[in-house]
Amino acid sequence: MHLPISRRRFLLDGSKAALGASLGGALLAACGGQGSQSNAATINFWYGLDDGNQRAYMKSHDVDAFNKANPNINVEISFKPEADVDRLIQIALASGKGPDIVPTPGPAYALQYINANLFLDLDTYARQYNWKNKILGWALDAGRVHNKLYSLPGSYQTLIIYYNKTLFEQKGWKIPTNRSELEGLAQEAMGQGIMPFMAGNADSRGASEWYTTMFFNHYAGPDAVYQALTGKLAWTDPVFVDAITLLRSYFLKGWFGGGVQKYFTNTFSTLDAAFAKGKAAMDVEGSWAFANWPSYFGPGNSGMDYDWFPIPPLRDGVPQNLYTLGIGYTLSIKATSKVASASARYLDWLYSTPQRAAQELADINFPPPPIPLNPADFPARLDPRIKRHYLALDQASAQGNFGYTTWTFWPPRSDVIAYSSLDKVLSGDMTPAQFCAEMNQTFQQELAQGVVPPIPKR
Amino acid sequence: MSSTMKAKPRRLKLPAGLSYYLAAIILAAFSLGPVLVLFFNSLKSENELGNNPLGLPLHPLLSNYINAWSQGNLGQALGNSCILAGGTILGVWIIAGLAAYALAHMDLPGADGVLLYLVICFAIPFQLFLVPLYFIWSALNLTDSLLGLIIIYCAVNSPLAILLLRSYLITIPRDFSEAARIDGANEFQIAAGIVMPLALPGFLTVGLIAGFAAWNEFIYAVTFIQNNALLPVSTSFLAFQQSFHRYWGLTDAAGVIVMLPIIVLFLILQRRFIEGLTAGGLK
Amino acid sequence: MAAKQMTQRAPLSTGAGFSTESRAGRGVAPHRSRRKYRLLAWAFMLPFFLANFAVVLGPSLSTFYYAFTDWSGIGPAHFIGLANFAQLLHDADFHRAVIYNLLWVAMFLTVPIALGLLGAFLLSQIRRFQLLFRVIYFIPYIIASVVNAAIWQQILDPQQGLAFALDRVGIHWLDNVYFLGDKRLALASVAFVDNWHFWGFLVVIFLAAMQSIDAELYNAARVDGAGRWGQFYHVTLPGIRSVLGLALLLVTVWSLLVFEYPFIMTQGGPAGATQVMTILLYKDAFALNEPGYAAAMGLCISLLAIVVALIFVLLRRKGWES
Repeated sequence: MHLPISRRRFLLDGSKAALGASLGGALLAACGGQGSQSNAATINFWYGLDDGNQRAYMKSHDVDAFNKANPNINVEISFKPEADVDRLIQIALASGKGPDIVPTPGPAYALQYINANLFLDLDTYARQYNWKNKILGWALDAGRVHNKLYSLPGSYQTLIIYYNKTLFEQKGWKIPTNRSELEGLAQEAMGQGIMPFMAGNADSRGASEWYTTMFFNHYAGPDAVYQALTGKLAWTDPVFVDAITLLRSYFLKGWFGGGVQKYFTNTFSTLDAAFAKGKAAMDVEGSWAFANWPSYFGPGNSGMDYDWFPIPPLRDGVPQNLYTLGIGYTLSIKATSKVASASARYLDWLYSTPQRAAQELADINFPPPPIPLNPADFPARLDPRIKRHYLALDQASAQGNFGYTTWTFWPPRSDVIAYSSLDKVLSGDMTPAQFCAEMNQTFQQELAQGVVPPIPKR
Repeated sequence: MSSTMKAKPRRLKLPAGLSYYLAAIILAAFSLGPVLVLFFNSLKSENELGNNPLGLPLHPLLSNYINAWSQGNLGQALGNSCILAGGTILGVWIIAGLAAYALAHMDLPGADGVLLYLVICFAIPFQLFLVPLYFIWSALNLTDSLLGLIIIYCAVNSPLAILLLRSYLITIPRDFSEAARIDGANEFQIAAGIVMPLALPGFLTVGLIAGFAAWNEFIYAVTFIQNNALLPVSTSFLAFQQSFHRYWGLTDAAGVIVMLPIIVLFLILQRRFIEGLTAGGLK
Repeated sequence: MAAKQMTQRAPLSTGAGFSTESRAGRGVAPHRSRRKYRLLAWAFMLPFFLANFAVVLGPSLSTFYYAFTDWSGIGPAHFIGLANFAQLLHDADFHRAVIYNLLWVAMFLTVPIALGLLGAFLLSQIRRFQLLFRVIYFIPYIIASVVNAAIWQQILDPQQGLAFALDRVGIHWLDNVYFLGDKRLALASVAFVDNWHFWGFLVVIFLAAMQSIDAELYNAARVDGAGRWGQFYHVTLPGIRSVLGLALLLVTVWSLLVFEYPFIMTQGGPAGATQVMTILLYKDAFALNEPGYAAAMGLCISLLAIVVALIFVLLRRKGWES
């Protein structure tokens, strides 16, 4: 549905986490009163979103529209700061309070609440509303724990490579389809003083896990990752160590961000501006980045244009057109909610209205929920690159050609290692072998504790 | 001692004065420089900020201020912050004033223990008791209210206030309070009528520090207040970003708006302060 | 030339109508009972204790309890004895964090205190524009930490900040200096920004203390031939001893508990180079879902700070304040 809420970026979004909620919702406070009708079931829904314009849009399209169509249900949405919402929910639920509809950053995080019996079993509603046929299989299964459905996937995303198309045309560069082409391209770009990949984690330390995801899946391969995630292969296997070693060598060559220290200092706005002006060639980032480019590319801005391609395999035997899958956030119903069936009704509405989702994608770049989208659902004004992206993603998941993002499928502590310890590898404080050893140790512990989220089969 | 030594200060007076001014100006540039950058940047468009990050605005505009005010709902937020700061200042004056007086002028039995406890209170990192405090406040129905937050701020800011006030109060001789006590005045009259007025600079300083702490505090504010209409201005900055992309022009404008009331408060309190200074005869 | 530490003031008329004639001998007037007086003193302390117990003591005690459990923030907490503390002993991140905090203490006990004293001294010598200077020095302390952090991140940016401006004038000292990206420079850089924000606070409290020093003492010192520096050293410093001692205590304890600036500017990075104890605590409590372990860490941090406090109290006993 919308831009992903923080993937557990508690420390990472330093300056944002340090700030509090926006009052763009004064709009909200004013509107909050108007919806309450005397016999209406009132559903409390908390959601992490900062920007005032986006809040207004979401409220009118995702909340008011539903309320109007369902006069005896009143959804009341309360916006929280993106970086704080997870912590606020944890505290509220722990003290017996909290909203009826609860978002979490992903299946791994929903698990802690599920294990504490704080979420409602949704199987009856799944049957009643036939979610099996409305929601993409792998995404729905990610919310199944002990064979019961506890959380629904809010949005889905993948990791791709955006590139400055105009720059490529000017230089006569071709899209790389394998590792040697990628390395050749990077070397040539460096030689011409162009940053091969824009990268920087000053604004969000968690960005480092994008690269862990990329190299684990596209070098070690999705099969290996699947086996490791299900406990059949150790993370210390050489194929993973080699993946991180390769990652590190690329960073040390200055291909990502221009150098390790630069990587730690680069902010997203600086990088995006440089990328749009052709000072950087490519960007490894998630589906959410589509929302950024209109401010930087195009006539009236830098005058250059962008496009995207899937991350190429970095080792023989790894498939082409591989897309790592991620879930931006999940939605669950609080176990003690008094308006459970009304809440389920609302949730179903979110998955039953593909045109609403596609329209939001076109209007304001909110990612859609993982429902199959027909080309016919997409409005004509939707950017064709975005359309191509979601069609490719749907096809890949249907064919089972997918990988696993760390922020969705790794258990919480192992996920933190995926970025915080990767930084140590980059700064030279840890070797790739040590990184994998630490990952393995923590992962096996979490596996034993039963906190690894459900892993979709390939 | 000898008369030549007396003459020395007078001879050196003028150059010495100048060098002090010079040093003061250098320090002022150190403090003020970055603030000027803040101010300049609040007058630039996003585009100009990208090209001219540190210099004077070439095309100054006021739109950042207007947009920051409406998008961040700064009017309501400023009101909330004033309530929080005002409540905290009052609360701290009462709590810390009474306690510091007891410690400095009333021979409180066990004063050393109390002092130790005060200092220990500092030593607890706030992150530790955020969650249990939320549980307690939740049970007492004090979450989601400005009053609940004010109580927290008063409690958290009191130890420093008490220690500071106590340092000021112990420099005030006891003779007056002793005499008044012997004459039959009750403790409140002594405290409020004699001693406190003499410690006015201390009170003003403590009020300033507590008020300022309440004004800028955000982690407790965002955790304990759910209702968007009650949020203070310290939490408004997040309105000006989309995902990770921060609109610096708006943020800087909001920063300027947010700091102005405190400067005004400071000016008001500090003027009285100067009167106290000249009365004290500091040369 | 050392002026005696006298706090006697010239008698003022109180205006409240009480006579200033004092009887011989200290002590409470005989007609008031000692016990009642003591109770009254405690009554004056009551508001503080009420607020403090509800907000600080209660939650801290429950944190104390959690430190001995394996609580994950949600669900039940199981007692595990000293296991958390044992783990702390082996936690390399924690050891590094302690060192960072000690470095921070060293940096803050020197620079800001010196600047604060210097600033207060200068202001006490300057007659004109005093208010203006005072406001200017205090402004950084007033501005929200997020905004301060943003300004300085901009200034310290290797491509767009001071380095860039200097480049334009041909000075290349700052080329390839990554204040916040280089793990060797990050802690000092963040400390520098926090110092910039903080020293005005010290100026204000030192100045307030300085104003209560009797003018007579300065006259006496001048008569003895002391220059301005001499007066400062022999009259001012002893005169503000109490507040100075408090400032040293505050700075030390706050340095052990520092959180905001490392959190906002570098989020404990790069690669943990600014991960001080409280940031590690926060990460363990909320990102790693180990609030039990975090509570144990918090207790250790508090213990460290309390030791410092004890030293302060000991010094006070030895007559530091007299």
